[in-house]
Amino acid sequence: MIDRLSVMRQKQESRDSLHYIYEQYRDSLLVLAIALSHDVNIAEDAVHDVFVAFAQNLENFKLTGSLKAYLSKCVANRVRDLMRKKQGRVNATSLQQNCSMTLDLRDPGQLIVCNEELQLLSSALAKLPYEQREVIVLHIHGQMRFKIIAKSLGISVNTLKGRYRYGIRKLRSILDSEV
Amino acid sequence: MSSAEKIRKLFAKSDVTVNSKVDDRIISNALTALEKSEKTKSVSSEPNIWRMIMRSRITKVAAAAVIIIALLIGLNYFVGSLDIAGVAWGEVARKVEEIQMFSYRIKLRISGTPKEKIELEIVMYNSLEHGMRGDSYVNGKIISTSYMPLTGNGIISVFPHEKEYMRTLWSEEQIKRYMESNNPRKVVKKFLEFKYKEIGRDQINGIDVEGIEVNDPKFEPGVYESLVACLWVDVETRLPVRIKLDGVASGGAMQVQTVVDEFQWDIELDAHDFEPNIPRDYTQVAEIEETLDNKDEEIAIQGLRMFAEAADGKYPSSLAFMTVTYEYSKAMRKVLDRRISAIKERIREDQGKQSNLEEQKEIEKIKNEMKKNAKMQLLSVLQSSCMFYGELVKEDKDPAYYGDTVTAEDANAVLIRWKISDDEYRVIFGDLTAEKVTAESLAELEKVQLE
Repeated sequence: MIDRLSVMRQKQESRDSLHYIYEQYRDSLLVLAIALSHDVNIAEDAVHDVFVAFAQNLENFKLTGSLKAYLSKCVANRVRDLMRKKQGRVNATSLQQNCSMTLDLRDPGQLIVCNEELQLLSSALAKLPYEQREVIVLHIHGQMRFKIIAKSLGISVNTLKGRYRYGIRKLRSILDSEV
Repeated sequence: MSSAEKIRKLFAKSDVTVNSKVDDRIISNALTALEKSEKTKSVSSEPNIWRMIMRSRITKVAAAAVIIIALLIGLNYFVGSLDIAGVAWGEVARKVEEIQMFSYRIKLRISGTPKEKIELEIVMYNSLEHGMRGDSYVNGKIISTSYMPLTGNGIISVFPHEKEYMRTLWSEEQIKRYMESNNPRKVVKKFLEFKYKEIGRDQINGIDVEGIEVNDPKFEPGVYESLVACLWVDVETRLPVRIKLDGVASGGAMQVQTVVDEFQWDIELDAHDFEPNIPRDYTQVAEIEETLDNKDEEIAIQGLRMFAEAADGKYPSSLAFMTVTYEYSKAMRKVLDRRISAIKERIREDQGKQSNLEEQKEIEKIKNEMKKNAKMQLLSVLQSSCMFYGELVKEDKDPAYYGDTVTAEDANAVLIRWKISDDEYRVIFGDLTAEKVTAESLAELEKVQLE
């Protein structure tokens, strides 16, 4: 009986934990996904997929560092996959179209609406190569160290830092010209 | 301020407004994923081959089930043993007590079934000396005759259209007990043992009648979720003229109306009328071991397991038999559709490689396997689960059933519980294991469950 009760309690605790984690990190992860994809639909799907996968493995999950960094990395990976898929579909119809240029982030009809700063940032980031965008977003917004990002991407830290520097310079220039 | 710092500030000010639909979708799917990961796979989600019933077989099973239900409902009208409360109604009870042979008609109308409305008429013949017999009609055509001879070993149902018959085996003891309780005086006694209200006078087919009404699902324990039963008797002869039952099941989706009327009292019936008449060219389609008497925990578990196997791990939303029948037939229909789709798909894929004849042979093989294994035992077992719960309700054992929220995957959740002593309960859990628990532990378990 005690076992059954503890299992039931554990289940309830797992549900509560999941709710808590979602509420805690939802906005941050969505901002990260939008900044990477410039597409609220991809962002929503990425956060959705990451949370579903996270819930599936919650029982065996062992946290070794920051949960936010872990989830940010997962969302970034998922965004990359989803963008590839979407890009593949777009390429099949028109090579000129770019998936990251198609959505209006100010549309109040969207289920996720971005504030002005995010619209500005996301539009500017969309003009960078994805590799540069990724390192900037993960490092600045995801608060991930270069070493960790480099490891997860399978590249050297120097290469990564190079991408970051070029990216920041270009981003600054884009933002200045827009302002 | 460096470029990176400015961008960092821009990130810090970035924000989103999220519609609750997004939260609902993500949280709901994540919780489902969490539950799936926690599941104890106690029930197979893939149905076995014996569960694949071909369409014609389902129709037959459903028809047979309805006949059995009607027969049993008919029988149940005459079960009961408490003392009579009212003087005038007591007189009615005494009057019918003397009658040895009689017949009546049962009209059963079930609406809200997955496929269509079911309307069935059964003419019942009762003899306290020889037994019972029921002739069932749909649209005026006879579809079956069920015999329950006093000297036989159960019910034999004959289907003339299909040239088939089935046996429902009862022990001699079961038959004897049923026949002993099958006395017309009990129908009035049964009404009187419940809290009833007098509904005044009326006229039925030119006969002046007076009625009483009982509003209590315990009148037919384990059959309906709610029930209103009315009895009208002839003001002059003091004999029953009509009994009407309006039952609701499946949360209101299913309505069952049973009207018992056209009583004929003291008619001439002989032993020959109750002897099963099975022509030589008829084949036996099924043999069922009746489990109606078996209202224990084990049979309840067996029935729930059968249901869950057919319904992908779900349990009936309530244990009213009509609800179970409704939901079980829906589940079986799904299984059947899946099976037919799979066969059709394969036919399409194999076109040119495999002949339709071979596919037909395969379908025939499934049908035969079904015929061999199904035996309709599941119907009586499912019914017994309902009767088991119905008894708990009737005996006020503080029962509760959570099949509307608990599935086979919720191994540790309370599925059924009932009181066995002042501070102890018996609990059947989602994984269909049973345990004795203290009232205190149960309260805690249910609290966690409801949260």
